[in-house]
Amino acid sequence: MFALCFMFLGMFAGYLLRHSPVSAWICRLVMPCILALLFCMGFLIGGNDTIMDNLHTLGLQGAALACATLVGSVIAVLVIVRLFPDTLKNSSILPGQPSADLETAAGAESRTAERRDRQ
Amino acid sequence: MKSSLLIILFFCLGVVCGRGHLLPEGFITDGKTVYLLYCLMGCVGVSLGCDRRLREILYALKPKTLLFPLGTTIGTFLASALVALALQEPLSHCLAVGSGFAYYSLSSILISQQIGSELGTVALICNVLREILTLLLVPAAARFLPPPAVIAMGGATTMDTTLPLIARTLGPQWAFVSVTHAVVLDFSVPFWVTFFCSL
Repeated sequence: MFALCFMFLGMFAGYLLRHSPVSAWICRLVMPCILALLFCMGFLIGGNDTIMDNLHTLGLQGAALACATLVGSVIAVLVIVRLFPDTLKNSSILPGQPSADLETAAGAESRTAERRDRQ
Repeated sequence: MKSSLLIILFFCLGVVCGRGHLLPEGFITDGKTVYLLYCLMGCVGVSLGCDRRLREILYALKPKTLLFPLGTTIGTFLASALVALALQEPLSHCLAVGSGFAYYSLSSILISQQIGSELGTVALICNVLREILTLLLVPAAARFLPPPAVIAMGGATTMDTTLPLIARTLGPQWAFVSVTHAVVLDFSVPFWVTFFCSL
């Protein structure tokens, strides 16, 4: 819960600093933080004999959840499409004047480089 | 894709270092990594708050576009609950893992901090696999599923890692829906994970 507070504070600070070069500098810290945290997580897991000895079990649990959640999402959206067939028509879900960037895969490619920082 | 591989590489390096005791004892502990987590959450918050395109998306949003991330969320939760029942695992744990929506870095870190490394490992494996399965299955799925269902497969990755493939397979007209779908789920991941971890 405390971590969420930091996110909210960050969102507020980001909005205030949106025209400042400081925000771009802070955004660049996301990827290094993720890498450092994943390294630490891997280190703690690697040093945990219980986890390492049960990796096959944990892996199976993870795989079961991955397959189930993927299929579950597909089925749920299929139901929504059945209930609201007009959502398959772009006019009901796209904005009136969509930005050209959002409409082209080429535009999407340039955005992925920035979005990747948050992954 | 490169960043996903880099993240997995760093995780594997960490595992090797931890397994081989290559770092001094007590150098990395749960207590110390929590400060890194706060730093990450703050930086993620700043990146969300200053992102002009997110505001453009929010202003241009039509209510019906929200039906797709809603469907992904409900389907994910129901599936996680079924798995919890089948594997005799705590429901809140499976829901916490499932609510990562393939956003494996943040969800696994949050779960590790709040519940433990074991479930964090499950979360990492689950959400990495979901992303990989999406990348593998989108071309085949697009042949017999409507586009929104194909987008639902990717969860929160449909605005970055899986977006180029989705746009190429379904057509650029679905790029906006794909991005919006992921933006909504992306926002919801920290809330759902924290909520289910607190149960």
